Amino acid sequence: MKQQRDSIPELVWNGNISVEIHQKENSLTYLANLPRHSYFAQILEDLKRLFAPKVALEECWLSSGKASIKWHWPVGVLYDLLSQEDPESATSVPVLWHLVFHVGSFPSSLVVPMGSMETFRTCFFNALKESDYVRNGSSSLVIALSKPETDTYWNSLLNHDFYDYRPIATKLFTSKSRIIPLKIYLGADAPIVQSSASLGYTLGQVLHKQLPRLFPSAVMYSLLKPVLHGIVLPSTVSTDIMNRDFCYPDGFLHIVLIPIST
Amino acid sequence: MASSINAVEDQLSKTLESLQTEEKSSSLQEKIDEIISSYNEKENRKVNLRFKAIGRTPLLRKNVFAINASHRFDKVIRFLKKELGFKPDSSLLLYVNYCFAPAPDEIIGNLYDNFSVDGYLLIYYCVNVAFG
Repeated sequence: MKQQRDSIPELVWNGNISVEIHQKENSLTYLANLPRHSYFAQILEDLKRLFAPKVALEECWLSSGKASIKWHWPVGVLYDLLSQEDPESATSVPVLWHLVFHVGSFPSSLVVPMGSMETFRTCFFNALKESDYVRNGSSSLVIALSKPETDTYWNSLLNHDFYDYRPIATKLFTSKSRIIPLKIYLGADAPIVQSSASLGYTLGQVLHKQLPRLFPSAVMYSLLKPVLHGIVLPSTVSTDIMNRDFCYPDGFLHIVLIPIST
Repeated sequence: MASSINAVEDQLSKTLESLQTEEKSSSLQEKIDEIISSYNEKENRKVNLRFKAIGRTPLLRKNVFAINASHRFDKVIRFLKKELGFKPDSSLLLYVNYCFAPAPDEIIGNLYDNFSVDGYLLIYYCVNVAFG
Protein backbone atom coordinates (compact mmCIF):
# COMPACT_ATOMS: atom_id res chain seq x y z
CA MET A 1 0.00 0.00 0.00
CA LYS A 2 2.80 2.34 0.96
CA GLN A 3 4.38 1.86 -2.45
CA GLN A 4 1.15 2.70 -4.18
CA ARG A 5 0.60 5.82 -2.14
CA ASP A 6 4.06 7.14 -2.81
CA SER A 7 3.43 7.32 -6.52
CA ILE A 8 5.80 9.39 -8.63
CA PRO A 9 3.34 12.28 -9.20
CA GLU A 10 2.83 12.47 -5.45
CA LEU A 11 6.56 12.41 -4.72
CA VAL A 12 7.04 15.17 -7.29
CA TRP A 13 4.11 17.11 -5.80
CA ASN A 14 5.69 16.88 -2.34
CA GLY A 15 9.08 18.17 -3.44
CA ASN A 16 9.82 21.39 -1.58
CA ILE A 17 12.48 24.00 -1.08
CA SER A 18 13.50 25.69 2.15
CA VAL A 19 13.61 29.43 1.82
CA GLU A 20 14.86 32.19 4.06
CA ILE A 21 13.60 35.67 3.23
CA HIS A 22 14.76 38.86 4.83
CA GLN A 23 14.56 42.56 4.19
CA LYS A 24 17.50 44.96 4.27
CA GLU A 25 17.89 46.62 7.66
CA ASN A 26 15.13 44.54 9.17
CA SER A 27 15.83 41.97 11.88
CA LEU A 28 12.80 39.85 10.96
CA THR A 29 13.27 36.70 8.92
CA TYR A 30 10.67 34.62 7.11
CA LEU A 31 11.39 30.90 6.94
CA ALA A 32 9.28 28.36 5.07
CA ASN A 33 9.30 25.13 3.14
CA LEU A 34 7.72 26.04 -0.18
CA PRO A 35 6.37 23.29 -2.42
CA ARG A 36 8.10 23.25 -5.82
CA HIS A 37 4.63 23.36 -7.36
CA SER A 38 3.65 26.54 -5.50
CA TYR A 39 4.22 30.17 -6.44
CA PHE A 40 5.80 33.11 -4.64
CA ALA A 41 2.51 34.88 -5.34
CA GLN A 42 1.04 32.71 -2.59
CA ILE A 43 3.31 34.14 0.10
CA LEU A 44 3.82 37.70 -1.15
CA GLU A 45 0.89 39.02 0.88
CA ASP A 46 2.20 37.33 4.04
CA LEU A 47 5.62 38.81 3.43
CA LYS A 48 4.14 42.26 2.95
CA ARG A 49 2.20 41.88 6.20
CA LEU A 50 5.38 40.89 8.02
CA PHE A 51 7.87 43.34 6.54
CA ALA A 52 5.88 46.32 5.24
CA PRO A 53 2.23 46.24 6.32
CA LYS A 54 1.46 49.75 5.09
CA VAL A 55 2.61 49.61 1.48
CA ALA A 56 0.69 48.42 -1.57
CA LEU A 57 1.26 44.83 -2.69
CA GLU A 58 2.14 46.12 -6.16
CA GLU A 59 5.31 47.71 -4.81
CA CYS A 60 6.59 44.48 -3.25
CA TRP A 61 9.02 42.15 -4.96
CA LEU A 62 11.65 39.55 -4.24
CA SER A 63 15.16 38.95 -5.46
CA SER A 64 17.67 36.12 -5.36
CA GLY A 65 21.20 37.33 -5.95
CA LYS A 66 20.98 39.67 -8.92
CA ALA A 67 17.82 38.09 -10.30
CA SER A 68 14.36 39.39 -9.54
CA ILE A 69 11.74 36.75 -8.79
CA LYS A 70 8.72 36.23 -11.02
CA TRP A 71 5.82 35.55 -8.66
CA HIS A 72 3.86 33.83 -11.43
CA TRP A 73 6.48 31.17 -12.20
CA PRO A 74 6.49 27.96 -10.15
CA VAL A 75 8.96 28.01 -7.24
CA GLY A 76 10.64 24.81 -8.51
CA VAL A 77 11.30 26.29 -11.94
CA LEU A 78 12.81 29.44 -10.41
CA TYR A 79 15.02 27.44 -8.08
CA ASP A 80 16.32 25.09 -10.79
CA LEU A 81 16.90 28.05 -13.12
CA LEU A 82 18.50 30.52 -10.72
CA SER A 83 20.55 28.09 -8.65
CA GLN A 84 21.82 26.24 -11.76
CA GLU A 85 22.45 23.47 -9.28
CA ASP A 86 23.43 20.11 -10.67
CA PRO A 87 21.28 17.53 -8.84
CA GLU A 88 23.80 14.84 -9.78
CA SER A 89 26.84 16.56 -8.35
CA ALA A 90 28.23 14.97 -5.24
CA THR A 91 28.58 18.28 -3.46
CA SER A 92 24.93 19.16 -3.65
CA VAL A 93 23.46 19.16 -0.15
CA PRO A 94 20.10 20.35 1.14
CA VAL A 95 20.20 24.10 0.92
CA LEU A 96 18.47 27.11 2.34
CA TRP A 97 17.55 29.46 -0.48
CA HIS A 98 18.20 33.07 0.54
CA LEU A 99 15.89 35.70 -0.91
CA VAL A 100 15.50 39.39 -0.28
CA PHE A 101 12.20 41.24 0.06
CA HIS A 102 12.04 44.74 -1.47
CA VAL A 103 9.61 47.63 -1.43
CA GLY A 104 9.75 50.25 -4.18
CA SER A 105 12.27 50.73 -7.04
CA PHE A 106 10.16 48.13 -8.77
CA PRO A 107 12.05 46.37 -11.60
CA SER A 108 9.16 46.78 -14.01
CA SER A 109 11.23 45.80 -17.04
CA LEU A 110 11.82 42.38 -15.46
CA VAL A 111 8.82 41.56 -13.28
CA VAL A 112 5.11 42.21 -13.53
CA PRO A 113 3.64 43.78 -10.40
CA MET A 114 1.14 41.66 -8.49
CA GLY A 115 -2.01 43.62 -7.69
CA SER A 116 -3.80 41.03 -5.59
CA MET A 117 -4.46 37.31 -5.34
CA GLU A 118 -7.04 37.86 -8.07
CA THR A 119 -4.24 39.01 -10.41
CA PHE A 120 -2.44 35.76 -9.67
CA ARG A 121 -5.55 33.63 -10.10
CA THR A 122 -6.28 35.18 -13.52
CA CYS A 123 -2.66 34.73 -14.52
CA PHE A 124 -2.55 31.10 -13.38
CA PHE A 125 -5.72 30.06 -15.19
CA ASN A 126 -4.58 31.83 -18.37
CA ALA A 127 -1.33 29.86 -18.29
CA LEU A 128 -3.43 26.71 -17.85
CA LYS A 129 -5.57 27.71 -20.83
CA GLU A 130 -2.44 28.34 -22.85
CA SER A 131 -1.14 24.82 -22.16
CA ASP A 132 -4.61 23.43 -22.89
CA TYR A 133 -4.53 25.24 -26.23
CA VAL A 134 -1.24 23.54 -27.13
CA ARG A 135 -2.68 20.13 -26.24
CA ASN A 136 -6.12 20.47 -27.81
CA GLY A 137 -6.11 23.40 -30.23
CA SER A 138 -8.48 25.30 -27.95
CA SER A 139 -8.86 25.96 -24.23
CA SER A 140 -12.03 23.90 -24.11
CA LEU A 141 -11.00 21.46 -21.36
CA VAL A 142 -10.21 24.27 -18.92
CA ILE A 143 -13.34 26.20 -19.89
CA ALA A 144 -15.42 23.02 -19.53
CA LEU A 145 -14.39 22.59 -15.89
CA SER A 146 -17.34 23.23 -13.60
CA LYS A 147 -17.16 26.08 -11.09
CA PRO A 148 -16.61 23.62 -8.18
CA GLU A 149 -13.86 21.84 -10.15
CA THR A 150 -12.13 25.13 -10.95
CA ASP A 151 -12.31 26.17 -7.30
CA THR A 152 -11.09 22.76 -6.13
CA TYR A 153 -8.12 22.96 -8.51
CA TRP A 154 -7.27 26.47 -7.37
CA ASN A 155 -7.62 25.56 -3.69
CA SER A 156 -5.55 22.39 -4.13
CA LEU A 157 -2.73 24.67 -5.21
CA LEU A 158 -3.24 27.09 -2.30
CA ASN A 159 -3.65 24.29 0.28
CA HIS A 160 -1.11 21.97 -1.34
CA ASP A 161 -3.62 19.11 -1.44
CA PHE A 162 -2.51 16.33 -3.79
CA TYR A 163 -5.74 14.34 -3.56
CA ASP A 164 -7.83 17.32 -4.67
CA TYR A 165 -5.27 18.26 -7.32
CA ARG A 166 -4.50 14.98 -9.03
CA PRO A 167 -7.92 13.91 -10.45
CA ILE A 168 -8.45 17.28 -12.15
CA ALA A 169 -4.85 17.48 -13.36
CA THR A 170 -5.17 13.99 -14.85
CA LYS A 171 -8.39 14.98 -16.58
CA LEU A 172 -6.75 18.09 -18.08
CA PHE A 173 -3.33 16.74 -19.03
CA THR A 174 -3.96 13.17 -20.11
CA SER A 175 -6.76 13.73 -22.56
CA LYS A 176 -6.95 12.31 -26.07
CA SER A 177 -4.32 14.82 -27.11
CA ARG A 178 -0.96 13.56 -28.40
CA ILE A 179 0.82 16.92 -28.00
CA ILE A 180 2.51 18.21 -24.86
CA PRO A 181 3.50 21.85 -24.16
CA LEU A 182 7.13 22.56 -23.29
CA LYS A 183 9.00 25.56 -22.01
CA ILE A 184 12.74 25.01 -22.21
CA TYR A 185 14.87 27.45 -20.21
CA LEU A 186 18.31 27.76 -21.80
CA GLY A 187 19.82 29.50 -18.76
CA ALA A 188 19.20 32.13 -16.10
CA ASP A 189 19.76 35.06 -18.47
CA ALA A 190 19.04 33.17 -21.68
CA PRO A 191 15.88 32.92 -23.75
CA ILE A 192 13.07 30.46 -23.17
CA VAL A 193 12.25 28.18 -26.06
CA GLN A 194 8.54 27.50 -25.96
CA SER A 195 7.54 24.57 -28.05
CA SER A 196 5.59 21.34 -28.15
CA ALA A 197 6.36 17.66 -28.60
CA SER A 198 4.38 14.57 -29.51
CA LEU A 199 3.80 11.57 -27.31
CA GLY A 200 5.71 8.42 -28.22
CA TYR A 201 9.19 9.94 -28.28
CA THR A 202 12.04 10.01 -25.79
CA LEU A 203 13.19 13.26 -24.20
CA GLY A 204 16.55 12.83 -25.95
CA GLN A 205 14.80 12.72 -29.32
CA VAL A 206 12.74 15.81 -28.48
CA LEU A 207 15.74 17.88 -27.34
CA HIS A 208 17.82 16.74 -30.32
CA LYS A 209 15.03 17.73 -32.70
CA GLN A 210 14.32 21.10 -31.05
CA LEU A 211 17.91 22.13 -30.28
CA PRO A 212 20.26 19.95 -32.36
CA ARG A 213 23.34 22.09 -31.67
CA LEU A 214 22.89 22.01 -27.92
CA PHE A 215 21.89 18.33 -28.09
CA PRO A 216 23.93 16.80 -30.94
CA SER A 217 22.88 13.32 -29.87
CA ALA A 218 19.42 11.97 -29.04
CA VAL A 219 20.92 9.39 -26.70
CA MET A 220 23.54 11.22 -24.71
CA TYR A 221 23.92 14.72 -23.25
CA SER A 222 27.17 16.46 -24.16
CA LEU A 223 26.80 20.20 -23.38
CA LEU A 224 23.68 20.64 -21.30
CA LYS A 225 21.32 18.39 -19.39
CA PRO A 226 17.63 18.81 -18.64
CA VAL A 227 16.43 19.35 -15.07
CA LEU A 228 12.78 19.03 -14.08
CA HIS A 229 11.62 19.22 -10.45
CA GLY A 230 15.25 19.10 -9.34
CA ILE A 231 15.81 15.79 -11.16
CA VAL A 232 18.12 15.23 -14.12
CA LEU A 233 15.90 13.42 -16.58
CA PRO A 234 17.50 10.59 -18.54
CA SER A 235 17.40 10.93 -22.32
CA THR A 236 15.43 7.68 -22.49
CA VAL A 237 12.41 8.94 -20.53
CA SER A 238 9.35 9.02 -22.79
CA THR A 239 7.21 12.06 -23.42
CA ASP A 240 4.21 9.97 -22.28
CA ILE A 241 5.71 9.50 -18.81
CA MET A 242 6.78 13.13 -18.64
CA ASN A 243 3.27 14.25 -19.45
CA ARG A 244 1.69 11.84 -16.99
CA ASP A 245 3.99 12.39 -14.03
CA PHE A 246 5.95 15.62 -14.43
CA CYS A 247 3.63 18.45 -15.51
CA TYR A 248 3.49 21.55 -13.37
CA PRO A 249 -0.02 22.65 -12.27
CA ASP A 250 -0.18 25.14 -15.15
CA GLY A 251 0.01 22.18 -17.54
CA PHE A 252 3.46 22.93 -18.91
CA LEU A 253 6.64 20.90 -18.66
CA HIS A 254 9.15 23.53 -17.56
CA ILE A 255 12.56 22.10 -18.41
CA VAL A 256 15.65 23.93 -17.19
CA LEU A 257 18.92 23.22 -19.00
CA ILE A 258 22.08 23.27 -16.94
CA PRO A 259 25.68 22.89 -18.14
CA ILE A 260 27.29 19.52 -17.70
CA SER A 261 30.01 19.98 -15.13
CA THR A 262 33.41 18.88 -16.33
CA MET B 1 7.19 26.47 -35.94
CA ALA B 2 9.64 23.72 -36.76
CA SER B 3 10.96 25.70 -39.70
CA SER B 4 11.80 28.75 -37.61
CA ILE B 5 13.64 26.60 -35.09
CA ASN B 6 15.55 25.00 -37.94
CA ALA B 7 16.51 28.46 -39.16
CA VAL B 8 17.82 29.28 -35.70
CA GLU B 9 19.74 26.04 -35.65
CA ASP B 10 21.32 26.70 -39.03
CA GLN B 11 22.70 29.93 -37.76
CA LEU B 12 23.85 28.25 -34.58
CA SER B 13 25.66 25.53 -36.48
CA LYS B 14 27.68 28.16 -38.33
CA THR B 15 28.56 29.85 -35.06
CA LEU B 16 29.53 26.55 -33.52
CA GLU B 17 31.68 25.55 -36.50
CA SER B 18 33.60 28.80 -36.44
CA LEU B 19 34.06 28.34 -32.71
CA GLN B 20 35.44 24.89 -33.15
CA THR B 21 37.92 25.90 -35.83
CA GLU B 22 39.10 29.08 -34.17
CA GLU B 23 39.33 27.98 -30.58
CA LYS B 24 39.74 24.30 -30.17
CA SER B 25 40.40 24.74 -26.49
CA SER B 26 37.30 26.77 -25.72
CA SER B 27 35.50 25.40 -22.73
CA LEU B 28 32.05 23.88 -22.84
CA GLN B 29 30.60 26.88 -21.06
CA GLU B 30 31.95 29.29 -23.67
CA LYS B 31 30.49 27.11 -26.38
CA ILE B 32 27.10 27.12 -24.70
CA ASP B 33 27.20 30.90 -24.15
CA GLU B 34 28.02 31.44 -27.80
CA ILE B 35 25.13 29.29 -28.99
CA ILE B 36 22.73 30.97 -26.60
CA SER B 37 23.78 34.49 -27.57
CA SER B 38 23.05 33.70 -31.21
CA TYR B 39 19.53 32.80 -30.10
CA ASN B 40 19.11 36.35 -28.85
CA GLU B 41 20.32 37.76 -32.16
CA LYS B 42 17.96 35.51 -34.08
CA GLU B 43 15.01 37.11 -32.31
CA ASN B 44 15.55 40.30 -34.31
CA ARG B 45 12.97 39.05 -36.81
CA LYS B 46 9.57 40.71 -37.14
CA VAL B 47 6.30 38.83 -36.77
CA ASN B 48 2.78 39.79 -37.84
CA LEU B 49 -0.06 40.48 -35.46
CA ARG B 50 -3.70 40.76 -36.42
CA PHE B 51 -6.14 42.46 -34.02
CA LYS B 52 -9.87 41.86 -33.72
CA ALA B 53 -12.24 43.74 -31.43
CA ILE B 54 -14.73 41.84 -29.28
CA GLY B 55 -18.11 43.40 -28.46
CA ARG B 56 -18.34 47.17 -28.26
CA THR B 57 -14.63 47.82 -28.06
CA PRO B 58 -13.48 50.55 -30.48
CA LEU B 59 -12.10 49.38 -33.81
CA LEU B 60 -8.63 50.10 -35.16
CA ARG B 61 -8.19 51.88 -38.48
CA LYS B 62 -5.59 49.32 -39.42
CA ASN B 63 -5.61 45.89 -37.80
CA VAL B 64 -2.39 44.26 -39.01
CA PHE B 65 0.98 45.19 -37.53
CA ALA B 66 4.51 43.80 -37.59
CA ILE B 67 6.42 43.75 -34.32
CA ASN B 68 9.87 42.67 -33.17
CA ALA B 69 9.73 39.04 -31.98
CA SER B 70 11.98 39.66 -28.98
CA HIS B 71 9.57 42.06 -27.28
CA ARG B 72 7.51 41.04 -24.31
CA PHE B 73 3.76 40.80 -24.67
CA ASP B 74 3.14 43.91 -22.51
CA LYS B 75 4.61 45.91 -25.38
CA VAL B 76 1.58 44.83 -27.45
CA ILE B 77 -0.79 45.88 -24.67
CA ARG B 78 0.83 49.33 -24.42
CA PHE B 79 0.91 49.70 -28.19
CA LEU B 80 -2.76 48.82 -28.59
CA LYS B 81 -3.84 51.23 -25.84
CA LYS B 82 -1.96 53.99 -27.62
CA GLU B 83 -3.50 53.13 -30.99
CA LEU B 84 -6.97 53.20 -29.45
CA GLY B 85 -6.30 56.46 -27.61
CA PHE B 86 -6.71 54.80 -24.19
CA LYS B 87 -4.87 55.92 -21.07
CA PRO B 88 -1.93 53.67 -20.07
CA ASP B 89 -3.68 52.58 -16.87
CA SER B 90 -7.06 51.86 -18.50
CA SER B 91 -8.40 48.32 -18.69
CA LEU B 92 -7.84 46.44 -21.92
CA LEU B 93 -7.81 42.65 -22.20
CA LEU B 94 -6.03 40.77 -24.95
CA TYR B 95 -6.67 37.14 -25.83
CA VAL B 96 -4.66 35.02 -28.22
CA ASN B 97 -6.94 33.08 -30.59
CA TYR B 98 -9.97 34.03 -28.49
CA CYS B 99 -8.70 31.62 -25.81
CA PHE B 100 -6.16 32.84 -23.31
CA ALA B 101 -4.49 36.02 -22.13
CA PRO B 102 -0.69 35.62 -22.21
CA ALA B 103 1.29 36.84 -19.20
CA PRO B 104 2.71 40.34 -19.88
CA ASP B 105 6.27 38.98 -19.83
CA GLU B 106 5.81 36.23 -22.40
CA ILE B 107 7.96 36.68 -25.49
CA ILE B 108 6.07 37.55 -28.65
CA GLY B 109 8.26 35.28 -30.79
CA ASN B 110 7.30 32.27 -28.66
CA LEU B 111 3.60 33.09 -28.87
CA TYR B 112 3.89 33.52 -32.62
CA ASP B 113 5.77 30.24 -33.09
CA ASN B 114 3.23 28.28 -31.07
CA PHE B 115 -0.08 29.94 -31.81
CA SER B 116 0.02 31.82 -35.12
CA VAL B 117 -2.56 30.99 -37.76
CA ASP B 118 -1.74 31.53 -41.47
CA GLY B 119 1.24 33.74 -40.64
CA TYR B 120 -0.52 35.96 -38.10
CA LEU B 121 -0.80 35.90 -34.35
CA LEU B 122 -4.50 36.62 -33.81
CA ILE B 123 -5.21 38.88 -30.87
CA TYR B 124 -8.76 39.61 -29.74
CA TYR B 125 -9.18 42.64 -27.53
CA CYS B 126 -11.93 44.00 -25.33
CA VAL B 127 -12.47 46.45 -22.51
CA ASN B 128 -14.35 44.10 -20.19
CA VAL B 129 -13.67 40.46 -19.35
CA ALA B 130 -15.09 38.49 -22.27
CA PHE B 131 -15.12 35.07 -20.70
CA GLY B 132 -13.96 33.38 -17.50
